[in-house]
Amino acid sequence: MIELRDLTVRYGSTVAVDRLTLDLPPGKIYGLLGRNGSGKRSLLSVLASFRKASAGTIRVGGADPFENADLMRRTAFIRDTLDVSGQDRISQVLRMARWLRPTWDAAYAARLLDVFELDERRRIQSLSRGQRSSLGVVLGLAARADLTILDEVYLGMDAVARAAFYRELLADYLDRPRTIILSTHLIETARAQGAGLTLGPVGIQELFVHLTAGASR
Amino acid sequence: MSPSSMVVFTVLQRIYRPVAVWFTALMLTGIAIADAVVVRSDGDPALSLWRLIFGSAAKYWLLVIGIVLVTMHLRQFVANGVTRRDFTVGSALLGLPLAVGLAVLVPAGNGLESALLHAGDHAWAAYPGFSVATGLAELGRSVVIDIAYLVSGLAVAVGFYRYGGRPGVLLMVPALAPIAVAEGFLGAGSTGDVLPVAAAAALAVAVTGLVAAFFQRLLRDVPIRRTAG
Repeated sequence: MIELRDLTVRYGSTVAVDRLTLDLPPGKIYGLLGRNGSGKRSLLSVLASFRKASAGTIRVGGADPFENADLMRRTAFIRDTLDVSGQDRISQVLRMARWLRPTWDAAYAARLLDVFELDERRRIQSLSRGQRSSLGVVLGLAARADLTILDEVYLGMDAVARAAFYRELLADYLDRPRTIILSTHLIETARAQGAGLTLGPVGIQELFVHLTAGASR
Repeated sequence: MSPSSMVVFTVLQRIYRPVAVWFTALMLTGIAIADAVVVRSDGDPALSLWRLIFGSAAKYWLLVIGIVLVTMHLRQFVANGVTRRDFTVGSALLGLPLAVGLAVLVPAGNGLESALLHAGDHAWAAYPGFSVATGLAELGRSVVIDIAYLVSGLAVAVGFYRYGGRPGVLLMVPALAPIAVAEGFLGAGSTGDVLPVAAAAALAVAVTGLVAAFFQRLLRDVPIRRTAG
């Protein structure tokens, strides 16, 4: 269970997330939708211990995730820019994940590379936007983390890659249920994927949507 | 020390071991060629090229490693589920033995160079003499200076990584204090007149330790920044 109580994230005088209170039961796929600057990434960064909350509390499985070795090991947060070196080859990035992540599934990663037609000899800086996004999917899903967070993961993906992503995501989720959070500002795209959302001028808390339950907002 | 720190150390070692081998091999080759050129031209080196070139290259490389650890590796490791604390400990496990190892190579190479130059009957009037005593003194000096460079590299990077441009520039003043003290009192130009060598070494170690502790506090809850790279 992810429990947020009055969670606040500030950057100087700018409030990115304002006293958010929320419970997310485990083992489901969630979509986090919101416009640019609505605080999605700040919230996800706190969930993944990339950033400390300015105020409020956060509990993942009953514990504060910040600098919690056990929880961080079981969390994968893939940002749209990817936290890798542009000079590295895909093979080096995957090797690093294999070295550091006890739950890393190398065989699954290799299969996903085939699905997304990624050549592991390519350097990151030579990849297109969509290929980078595909690599993000590989890193996120093959981590086999209990909490998998994919931020704007299908930016630049073409229709084929996007369809492959949803297919793989759902197949893997059904095989190994876990908590997955997808964030996007492409609200129309998310709606087209069957979430059936109608979004008004709502706060970020209301933008958390349980996709597997078919838009239970 | 947590198992995760050891994993960080092992991974960093895998990354840097080949680089260290290449670095040392290139230095050996380059300085051997330079020495050979000097000898063949009947020059009389007034200094140890190994001590000058390798000694400088080693400390600047450690400075760069300190910077790269924070600016590049920190987010890679955290993104792979490693805590900042384990990353810091793992980095120290890599950096400190590396700094000591490179420092050992300074007098060791100097001794080898001296032995090779004196292998023939040639007398080198200007080349500085080498003995076990001078080698040990050089080792102690190099260890302190090399660790100072590593810590300063880390500290400069932490200041910029956490606070960005202008505050980062301001934080360079304390961040570079280890280098300033170590080089000022133990560097090539120092004579020991201002401060005896032992006291200078103790001061440099103390300043390096204080700066390391201060910047470790800044690192322990630093937000992991996004980059476009």
